[in-house]
Order: sequence, then structure tokens, then C-alpha cells
Amino acid sequence: MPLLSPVSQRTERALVALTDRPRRRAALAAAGALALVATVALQGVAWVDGVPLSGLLRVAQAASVAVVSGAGGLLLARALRRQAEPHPRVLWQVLLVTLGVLAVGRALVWALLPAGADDDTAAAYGFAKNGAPRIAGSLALMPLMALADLFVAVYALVRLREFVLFKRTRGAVRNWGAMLAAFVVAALLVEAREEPGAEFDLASQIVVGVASALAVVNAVRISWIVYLPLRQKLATIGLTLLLMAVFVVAADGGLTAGGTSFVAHYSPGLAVFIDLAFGFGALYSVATFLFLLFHLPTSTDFQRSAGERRALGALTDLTGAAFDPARLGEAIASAPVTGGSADRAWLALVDPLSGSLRPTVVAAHGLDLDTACRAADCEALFAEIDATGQPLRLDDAFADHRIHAVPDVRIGSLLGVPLVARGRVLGVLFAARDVAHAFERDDEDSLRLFASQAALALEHARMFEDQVEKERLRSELDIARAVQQRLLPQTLPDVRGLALCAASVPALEVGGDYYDFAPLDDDRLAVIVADVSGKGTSAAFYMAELKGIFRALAHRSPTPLAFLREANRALAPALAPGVFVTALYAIVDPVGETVQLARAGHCPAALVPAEGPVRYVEGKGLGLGLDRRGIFERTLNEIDLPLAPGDTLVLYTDGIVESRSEADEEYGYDRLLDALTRHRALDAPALHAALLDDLHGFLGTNPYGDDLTLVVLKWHGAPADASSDGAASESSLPPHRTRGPLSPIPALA
Amino acid sequence: MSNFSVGFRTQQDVCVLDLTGELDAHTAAELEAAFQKCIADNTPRIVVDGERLQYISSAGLGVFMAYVEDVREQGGDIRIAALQPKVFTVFDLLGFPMLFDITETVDEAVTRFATAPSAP
Repeated sequence: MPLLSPVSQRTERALVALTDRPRRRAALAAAGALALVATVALQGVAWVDGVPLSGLLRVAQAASVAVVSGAGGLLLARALRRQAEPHPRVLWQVLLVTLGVLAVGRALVWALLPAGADDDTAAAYGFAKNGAPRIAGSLALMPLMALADLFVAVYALVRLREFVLFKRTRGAVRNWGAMLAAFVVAALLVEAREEPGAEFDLASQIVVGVASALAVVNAVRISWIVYLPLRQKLATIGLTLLLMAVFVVAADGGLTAGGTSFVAHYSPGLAVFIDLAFGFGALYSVATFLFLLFHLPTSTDFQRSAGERRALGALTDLTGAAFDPARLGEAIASAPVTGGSADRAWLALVDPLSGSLRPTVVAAHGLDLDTACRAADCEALFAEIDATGQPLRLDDAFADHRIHAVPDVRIGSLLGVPLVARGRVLGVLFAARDVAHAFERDDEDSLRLFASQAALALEHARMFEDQVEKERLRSELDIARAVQQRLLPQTLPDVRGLALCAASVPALEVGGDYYDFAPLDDDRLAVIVADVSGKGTSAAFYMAELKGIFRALAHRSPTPLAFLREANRALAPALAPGVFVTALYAIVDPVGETVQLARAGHCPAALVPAEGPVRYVEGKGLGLGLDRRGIFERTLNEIDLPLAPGDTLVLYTDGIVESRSEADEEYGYDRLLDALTRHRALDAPALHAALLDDLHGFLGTNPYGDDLTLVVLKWHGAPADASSDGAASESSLPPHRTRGPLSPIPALA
Repeated sequence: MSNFSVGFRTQQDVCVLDLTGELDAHTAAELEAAFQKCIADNTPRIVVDGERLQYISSAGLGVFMAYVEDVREQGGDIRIAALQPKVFTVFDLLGFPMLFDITETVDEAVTRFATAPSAP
């Protein structure tokens, strides 16, 4: 065989080159036509003489036939050269072409032969016993039938080549080349040695035998069949039987009523070539038929694993594309059905956010969500699967109490596979078949494979979502913090006799702390400290609204009560349900030496008198936004306190009292009071710093969970007092800005 | 992550929600779901049992505010019972006792539904 390879390659290249250019093709066609005419003329001579051709004429005839066949064959092969996929469709084409041409041949025979050409003798076909043509009809039929059969033979070979060389290996190509070469050699040999119409001698028979053997070798290359879908395989069985029949009949010459005979008398060599070609066609059809017959029983399994591979491939593609857990859920639920492992499937997931372990059906394929919930008790099944961590298979689902009868949906067998990612069971994929005992070990294994892929995909999709959410929140926080900074007072007011120190330290999750001052007419000062419930940008925006209300109304509110009532009326409709604002509003009157305050749900203000116990200022009051029906107005208390020099009023938000230490203990109101007592003698800034230090010491390395705000107002007495020297300079101190004594803000773990 | 759970039980056709753990922004959704369920089931008489409630944030308080109107519209109410002192302080500072009936025990709250069905 190695010897053949370079030879066959060169031969093939040479042959292809012959039909390469249009001019060459035209030349080839002309040569063929001339040769054809020559053969007819030569046969005409035989007819006239009554003796078959011999000697030089015989050689001329043979040569002409060779030219006709060669030219015709090459041109036809080139015309058919488009690379077709080995599809049963092509086999149908071959079948139809063969039948068509053979039918045409039959018609020609019927037209051109005299009546009575039904028996199979040479005489009936218009040939003398010695092989010479006897009637004009056979003279015409010879070239015609030869061309027709040649056409079919070449057509079949070219088309079948694609099937045989589906798996294009060097060996396969070599074998095909060898077979064709053998056909040609056999044809030439027979042409040289035989008389038209005579029996073959031994040498010819051997050569034909070798060619046939090579045909058999090529006939068993049928790997293209395996990849067909089942339905096509079944259709092809019928097709191969037909093809087999047609080729056999064609080779035998029966259909054309002696067509072979015509060709055999025209050129024995050509007849051999054609017969070998048809023989190969028949062999190929038989082989295909037998292959299919033996392959079909196992083809469903092959089908399934091919289907599973497809489904797995689809799932893998999807994990790259789908970051949407909902779409992913649908894809997961449909995979077992499209992969052929189940008739119906549905996916039940546990929702981690709610914390409860109740599975919900999120997607279903082959049945709707509602039916899926009703047909099987997902919770009970999930419980068992969750406990064992293994798939659960119900071979006789009807008998199980966890499966309920539902119209239109039969669950004969059920397979539940857990989706496990990072040690957690995310949910269960249920696959159902209509018949009992329908699942095998293979199905369990392949579904288990699905499920692990699916779990990973889901986990990734969720992580992606979380990440996107975090990013969104982070930028929200940045905006909120920027807004908050702008809303807080940039300078502290200058009120004679009053020392102020104020700071607000934002937490990483921005809250809604707010404080502000508004000097009123006649030397009074309004102070507000407020806390919006909730965090993030919405809290910041409510803060902004409150600031607007404060700046607008403070000047026009004679008392804290008046302001807070108006504020509630203005704010309550604007707040979302469940959102409220706590506030403490105080008016310091340096002339009257009093302070008036009202507490709307806020932490009580602490009073650190120059003498006497430190205490919280009690007073009832509902938070802002909680009520619009008058309860707020009716229940809000206003407290009047006298101010003696040295008295300190401390306003703050719950971020201080609710801060937790490393031991998870709250700072609490008692500790605050205690710290205030210890540092009561300090002036406003020092007291402010000392309190925050104390808090910081308590927190340790813990971060702030909430914003904290601290406003210290120390009354030093009326300006006429001597001790006020320090007060003036103190009150013009720049306020401690947000990064105060506690910067930098500890990062959250 | 905060630990929180809502237990469901019925006592004389009153829905009792047993809260356990810390109710804050992360866990508020559970309580919301519980309120929604009571409203959907048309059992608007609700008593929240705070015996095992360790902590409540403004977000948690907000949940009560968000659903109390709907519940009252259905002819029921939300009563709060058995709060731990620290937790009660939080409710009290905000003024909740003026909006909600807060009792010492669950039984008391349930009884009040029979005698005085709607809020003060």
C-alpha cells in the first residue's frame, strides 16, 4: 500500500488538473464528443460487416471508448464536486438519479427496439451470435445506454465518496484511490482481452475479483451513520434497502432489459467498470443496512449520552452568560428534559435571605410551577435529601405519600438531586418520568453531574449579584456621606456667654444624624439634634428636608413645641411608611437665663448642672412622622429649665449609647451619665473631647455601627460676668469637624 | 449576620408572633413577611411576643409603623407584650406606648383583644 500512496496522489492531482481550466474542460468535452462519434462510426462498420470489430479497428474502438469514458467521467466528477455532507438526503438523490436514468433507458429500449425484445437473448437485443450489432436500433442504443450507465456510475461513486471518506484518514483516502484504480485497471484489461458479449477468462476474473475485494474494503466505512438522530436512522434503513435493490438490478441489467448487454457489446471494459461501480453501490447499501440494524438497539443510549453532552454543553455556556439567577433557574430546570433524561423537571431552591429553610419551586419545565408544587411535597422530599445529602430516587412514585395525583401529569418515577455549593444545599432539582422504574444508575450519575454544575453556576450568579449590589451601595454611601457633610453647620454661632462644641462622626453605613443652630431674634439660640431612621441616601435626603424645615421655621417658631408641631406636619406626609425622625429641639435664652426644650422621640438631653446630680431631662414626645392624627401634638411635652453659670446641656444621638464594645456590651445611658459626672468641670471643648475619648476607650477596636453626634453647650453666665472672658474665645473656636478626635474612622471588618 | 426568627402560633384566634433575637435592618424582612401573612390570612389580631427579643433598631421599629395601619383597617391591631426592659426603653423613648398597646404578658394582650379590640 505505501507504494500506492504517492502514485495515487500524483494521479489524483493530474486528473484534477485536467479539468481545472474552462479551456481544458472544453477541450476534454470536444475530445469526448469526437470519440463518441468515432465509436458509433466504428460500430456502424461492424453492423455493416456483420462481424464484430477486430484488429486495429478494435483497438480504435477501445481507445475511443476510453476517451469517451474518461472525458465524461472527469467532467461529471468535476461538476458534482461540491463537498456535500454525508446526509441521507444525498442517498435519496443517488437513488432517484439511478432510477430516473434507468427508467429513461427502459423507455429508449422500448422505443428503439422492435417488438418481441422481452426475452433475454442476444438476438432479442439485436445482436448476432458473434456479437456484432444487427439492427439500427441496437446501434443507437449502445452509446446511449453506455453514456447513461456511465453517468449513473460516476454519479454514485462521486456521491458515495463523501460517505466513505467521512472520516478522512490517510488509509481511507488510499483505499478509495486504490479501489478506483482497480476498477479502471480491470476495465482496461477486460477491454483488451475480451470479445463483446463473450464470457470472461480467468485472468479477467481474477482482476475483477481484486477490484471487488477493494470495493468491499471501502464498503464498510459507515461511521457517518452514528451521528444521525434516531428518526433519520430509521428512515435510512428503508432507504438502504431500496438502494440495494436498485443497484443490484442495475448491475444485473434487468431493469434496462439488457442494458448491460448493450454496454457489454459496446465495450466490455466499460461494462465491467460500470458493474463494479454498481456492485460497490449495492455493497455499500447492504453494509449500511446491516450496520443500522445492529446499531439501532444501542442507539437510544448513544442518543441519550449525546443529548446529555449537549445539555451539559448548554449549561456550561449558560454559566458564562447568565448572571441572572432567575434565568439560570429556568435553564437548570429545562436541562434534564432537553437532554432526554426526564420527561419533566423542576427546581426548588432555599432562599438564604429569609433564613428559613423552606424550599420554593422557582422554575419548571414540562409542567407549570403550580402543578410542580402540588404534584410533589417538595418540603418533605427536600428534608430527606437535605438530611442524607444524597440524591433520592422514587422508583414507584405513585406509591409514595409525598407524590400527589394531579390531572394531566403522571409521575411514575422521581429523582431528586441536591444542588450543593460550598457545603450548603442550595436546593433540589427534581426530574420525573411518566413510567415507574424509569431511572437507572446512569441517569442518577448524569443528573448528579448536572446538579453540581448547576449549583456552582447558581452560587456564582448570586455572588455576582451580591457584588453588584455592594458596588451600588458603596457609591450610594459615598453620595449620602457627601450630602450629609454639606448639611451640617460649617461654623458654630457666636452667642455671648455660651460655649459650644459640636461634632458628628459618620459611620460607614451612613445614618441620618443632623444637628444645626439658628440664632433667633433677641439673642436666643435654637438648637436641634435629629436622627432619621434608616441609612443610606434616603436618610440623607430626609435630613436635607429637615434642614430646610429648620432653616425656614426656626425663626418663626416662638417655642420648641411650636416648631416641632409644624415640623411634624411638614415632614410626616413626606416620609415613607415605617420611616420616622427623632429630634430634640432646644431654645437657649441667655437674657432670661433659661433653656426650653422638647423631645420628639429622641434620646433625652443630659443636664450637667454646676451643682447637683447629673440627670437626663425627662419629657414625653412621639417621634416625627409616626402620627398625623393629633396624638403627636397632644402628647409632646415642653420643659423649661433655668440656666445657672457653669451648667452644661449635652445633646446627642443614639449612636453614642448604642455603641457596642468588643464584649458586645452597649455603652448605655448609665455610662454616659457617669462619664459626664466625672468630667463635669471641664469646659465645653474639653468635655466634648473627654466624652468621645471615654467612648472610644469603651469601644476598643470595634467600629461604629451608627453615626454619633455630640453637642455640648456650656453656659458661662451673662456677658457682664467676669468668668466670661474665656467664653467668648471658646465660642469662636472652629467646630470640631467630622473627623474630630476620633479620626481615622476604624474600618469595618 | 444577626440572628432572628419569627414564630407563629394562635391563641384564641389571635395571631401571636414570637420574636427571637435581634431585629434590625437585615432581619426586618422576616417580621415584614410575618405581618404580611397575617394580613393575607385575614387574621389582623396580632400580638407580638417580645420575651426573647434582644434588640430592636429603628428599622425594626419602622416595620411596626409600616403595617399597623393596614392591620387596623382590617379591624385588628398590633399589640406588643413581654418586652425586655432594655428593649422596652427603646420603644418608650420613641413614644410607642402612645401608639401601641404594650402589655406585660401575652395573655393580657390576647384578653384585651376580646375586651377592647382596637387601639387606644
